[in-house]
Amino acid sequence: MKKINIVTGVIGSDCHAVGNKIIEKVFSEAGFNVINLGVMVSQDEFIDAAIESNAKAILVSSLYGQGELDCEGLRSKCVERGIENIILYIGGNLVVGKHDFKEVEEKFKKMGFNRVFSPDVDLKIAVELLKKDIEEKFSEKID
Amino acid sequence: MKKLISIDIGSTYTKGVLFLYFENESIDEVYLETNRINKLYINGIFNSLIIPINRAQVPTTTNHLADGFFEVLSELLSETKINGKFINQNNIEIKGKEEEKNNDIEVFYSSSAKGGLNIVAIGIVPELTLKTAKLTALSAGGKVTKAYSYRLNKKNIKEIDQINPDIILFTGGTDGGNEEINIHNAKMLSSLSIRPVILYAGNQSCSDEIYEILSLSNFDIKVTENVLPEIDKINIEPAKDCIRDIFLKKIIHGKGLDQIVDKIGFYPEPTPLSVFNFISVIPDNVKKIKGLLQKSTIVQNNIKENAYYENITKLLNKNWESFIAIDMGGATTDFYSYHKDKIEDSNVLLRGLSEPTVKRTVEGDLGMRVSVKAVLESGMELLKIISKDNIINIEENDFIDIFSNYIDKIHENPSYIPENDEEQYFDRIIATICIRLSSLRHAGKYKRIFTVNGEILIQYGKNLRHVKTLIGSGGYLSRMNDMFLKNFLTFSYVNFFNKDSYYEVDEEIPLLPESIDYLKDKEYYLPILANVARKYPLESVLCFIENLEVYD
Repeated sequence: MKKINIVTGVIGSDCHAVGNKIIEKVFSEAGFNVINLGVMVSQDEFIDAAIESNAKAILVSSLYGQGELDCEGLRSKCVERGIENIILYIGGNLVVGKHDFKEVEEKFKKMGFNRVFSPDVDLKIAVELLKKDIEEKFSEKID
Repeated sequence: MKKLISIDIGSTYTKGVLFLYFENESIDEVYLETNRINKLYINGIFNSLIIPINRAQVPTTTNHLADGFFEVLSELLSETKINGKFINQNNIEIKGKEEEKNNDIEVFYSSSAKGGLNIVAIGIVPELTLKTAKLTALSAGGKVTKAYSYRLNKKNIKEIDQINPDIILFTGGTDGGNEEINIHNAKMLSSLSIRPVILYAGNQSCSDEIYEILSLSNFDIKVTENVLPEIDKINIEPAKDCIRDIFLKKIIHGKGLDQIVDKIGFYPEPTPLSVFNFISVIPDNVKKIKGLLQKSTIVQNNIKENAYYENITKLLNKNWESFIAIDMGGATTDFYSYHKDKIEDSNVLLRGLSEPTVKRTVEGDLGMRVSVKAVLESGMELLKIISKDNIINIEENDFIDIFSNYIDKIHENPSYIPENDEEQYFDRIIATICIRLSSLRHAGKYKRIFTVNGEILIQYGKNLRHVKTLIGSGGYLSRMNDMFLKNFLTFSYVNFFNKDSYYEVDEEIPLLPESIDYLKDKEYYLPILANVARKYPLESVLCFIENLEVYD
């Protein structure tokens, strides 16, 4: 069966590599074909890889607190470059300091992300959500 | 003993060299006296070798390539004395397949045919499939006339009709990736009025549809493996081989090449592809030759006394694991690098496509004569720096004017050869600009980024910093006299990594060699021996290396 491509990476000037590897492992084991761009990935690199591979989702990580700045305009860029339907997820330490996660979630959803995850999320939940979202949006089933 | 003839039909000259090939046989006294290499053979260090005996050159007969080719061939045969006798041409049967032949003359030839096949490259994302497509076209010895990304529109189709390329290299999507844009592009290509060969080397998931759309529109369509099957994995060889096959079928029509094929029995190799393949086999063969010399006590005991042993050892001891070769002609500058990139510094992150060990780029706007006007435009900034290094006493204010006049003069007369010191100096400046700019375009770069974890260098493209060997070849570089050399290299490769200049560079640092040993291909053997190397790689590499001139 044809596997579904998803793109992942750590955005901006962020070098946190451990979580990135775990995401690749968990989603691969869940049946996705994961295109992992590693750390310090720019918005355009995410989009380039997604266009070329016809990915259904981009999973963005950000751990160093500057996620808001780095992700600004990512959705608009996707629209501009012709992949307006792509699913965008983000997770990690998205803002500096202590904030109510609800606020953070709302902020990033406004920026065009379909789902926002806190750093302590169980990735199995994220996998299930992604499967559900892809099925709803593209009518494609995984497994 | 066999005679090997290698002929290269270049865009300006058709050049040929006749070699003698010896294998496990005794050598006539005549050659013992005239050729210094023979000791290696006599002493049993090598059991085969080739010796250049005679060369011939005529201006390329552009309208009918066979004329120049046969002129060179017969000149080589009729003017070469072997064992004191001329070769009796009537007894020579050249025809037959290269492998099947068993007579005493073997012919190898290559043709640059209009500077290579005209290729239009199509990809989806400029930095991914399109970049890979361009890399593939250049590695195959073609020239990329135009490149298109994303969706083709009607204007693009009109343009392609006007360009009338030999091949359209159609890529896009990783395997299992984007199909939709490719199918759109296939439909657009169907509306072309011309019917070039289309080579599809994109997403394999939709190759059947692509094939169907284009073959229904009567295209000669070939499908091969994807040049970018995965985002971080390039795969250019299959497409490269297809381009070569297309080249062979395409170029023999017209221009008289078919007559050569009739007589010789096989097709010419595209010159840049032949050179590319030669560059690829040099390091392994150097290793073999070095091994043989190191094992030989005769060589090791006589290095000091024997000039040949000393010289060849010195040449072989240059760094051949990574090197650059530049073939600079009147119209183009071909730049080849052999280098395996290893990222050792933990502060460096590689971005974008990781480039292959052997890479060729060709610059159509950088050349010593035909394209010299563009040199002036592209190189103005550099020219201003060079003009300060006033070694021929021209007033700085007048410099650009006088120089421009010279450019006009040689542009009108491409076979012009400098007549005085000033003109020689100008030629050197043109060469400097060509080398400098083609290097910058070929090499990768570092971008400095400051992060919360300190400074990080992002690397794009190939890092040539630690490449130490540069071979200069082609009309000008093969002839260049050494009085200019030191300045020439200093200007060509300004050291970006010495402390002062490093911190002056604000964002981007070009990854050019930090120091270079310059080796001059003084006989201009690059294309000639590249031909012979297809069958005799070890012998050809030895012959190539021993004829290089070292500048320390």
